[in-house]
Amino acid sequence: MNDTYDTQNKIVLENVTFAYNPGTPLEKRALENISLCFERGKVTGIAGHTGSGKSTIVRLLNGLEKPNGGRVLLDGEDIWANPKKIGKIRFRVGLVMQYPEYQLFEETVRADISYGPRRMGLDDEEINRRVIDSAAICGVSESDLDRSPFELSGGQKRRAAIAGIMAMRPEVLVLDEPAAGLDPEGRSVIFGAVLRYMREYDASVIIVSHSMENMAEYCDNIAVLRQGKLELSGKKEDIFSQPELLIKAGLDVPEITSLAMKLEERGIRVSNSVFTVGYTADKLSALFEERRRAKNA
Amino acid sequence: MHNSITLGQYYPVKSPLHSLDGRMRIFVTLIYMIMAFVCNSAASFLMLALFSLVLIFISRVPFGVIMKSIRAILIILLITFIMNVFFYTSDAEPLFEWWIFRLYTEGIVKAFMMAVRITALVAVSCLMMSYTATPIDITHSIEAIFEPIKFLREPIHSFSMMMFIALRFIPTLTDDTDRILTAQKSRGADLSEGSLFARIRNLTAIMIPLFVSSFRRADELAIAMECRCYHGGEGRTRMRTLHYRASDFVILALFVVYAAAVVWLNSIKIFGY
Repeated sequence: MNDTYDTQNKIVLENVTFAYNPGTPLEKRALENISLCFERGKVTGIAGHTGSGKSTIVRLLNGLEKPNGGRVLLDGEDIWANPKKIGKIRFRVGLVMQYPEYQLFEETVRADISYGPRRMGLDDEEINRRVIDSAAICGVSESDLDRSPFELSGGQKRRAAIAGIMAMRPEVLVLDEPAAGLDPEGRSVIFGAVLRYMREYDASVIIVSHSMENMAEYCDNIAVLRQGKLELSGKKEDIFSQPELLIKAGLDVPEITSLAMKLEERGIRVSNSVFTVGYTADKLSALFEERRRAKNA
Repeated sequence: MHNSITLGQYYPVKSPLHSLDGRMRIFVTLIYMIMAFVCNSAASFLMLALFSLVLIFISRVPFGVIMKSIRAILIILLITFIMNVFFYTSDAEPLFEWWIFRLYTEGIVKAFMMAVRITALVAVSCLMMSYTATPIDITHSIEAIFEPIKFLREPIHSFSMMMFIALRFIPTLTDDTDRILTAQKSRGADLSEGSLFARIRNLTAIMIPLFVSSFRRADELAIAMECRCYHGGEGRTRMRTLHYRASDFVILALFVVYAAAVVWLNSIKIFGY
């Protein structure tokens, strides 16, 4: 991740410190001096064990909490410069909470998706256009739009809820454990929708998860938190070249990465950074080919 | 963010009052309360106040914490005091007379006694039922106390289970509310602005998901309980059974002495009160 003032950076945390209940005996330090940049048009993953502060970062990005120290910059401007306008920031930084399907409440899926845009004060025509568009991105079929959200299946509900956030057309889309409790197919549908939204609207995407498996597949950059401190951050390839540090942060490395670590212990080095199955398979077969040739020669 | 553990006002220290058996706790608190109403002489009220202070001292709960529960009833206390002072009538010579108001020395003394009684009752019932006992302990004890009338086919167990579940789910529902509130806030819901109608409309965005999630939780809990073969109270054993201990009887003796002292002091008058 680049320099703080680079225009590539959509949203930036600058020396952010945060504690819950500051100045009381119940004070709980959640984040300490975090500086992080989230690039435009890229997917950044925030990984960390339970209690590492990932959910707190989500609340800070969205202006739900105010940092005790440091700043949150959106397009180079402090989001708390005018605290009265923090509501506007929430439309620009869309937040998909954990289990977003629990926030559905309207009579129809259509009404629920249009809740956010309506709160923004858009006209009916624009709202309708956005509803249809976000529903299409999330794979919510046109016929489901007029059903009650409570009649949908679990996966469909979640997609409808995410469409409700996308309909606000946020420039930054923050997702907290978007794949929790879904099967692999449901997971890839959700991530597919998120990537499509990012490309279509040149948005920045931030995914918070404890699963490195998902991170390896969908993220460009990764930041690893450990007990409220930034442990690692950088390009995905660089992060996965140091799997020991991930394990130290209490994270599970992807299966393929731990396989590569075991192979390396036995003297077979696949590559610097291992996180996808296809790439590893190619590398390994090339290695075997090389050895066979060496033996025959 | 809130602290989801502090339901009630349990003050976690070790003391003979904290370890008191739940059934004994309810029984001695009852003695205390009855005796607070039996008091009618200045000397017995002095005893009441003194005994209350002794209890607070034994419980090791800081005095300031107890004062907080008294502060909550300060207005009620003031109103009762004024009522008692102004509406007391007697044939004796009034101490002070103005327009329709007549103040009697006896009225002021009675009002003062009433104030002491209410303060003591609130302080000690909070101490016994909330600061030194968890709601769950109390629920279990109530069930144990009503155990003997089970033969009347009263569903004692079901009631206490309902009470227990309701208490157990308060923090969970608070968490749910918090989560839903956050989610809707980030979709632009604003509960503090707009006309009354707009606010009610916005409230549905919180209430409906909250109802849905409580029903879901109730459903899941019912299934989980059935999976563990829950079939009501019959033949069900407890992980924590209630046992009387020697210290419980020492506390009981203390309360009995207090009750006897109140009865005796009622017959002794200081300055005629």
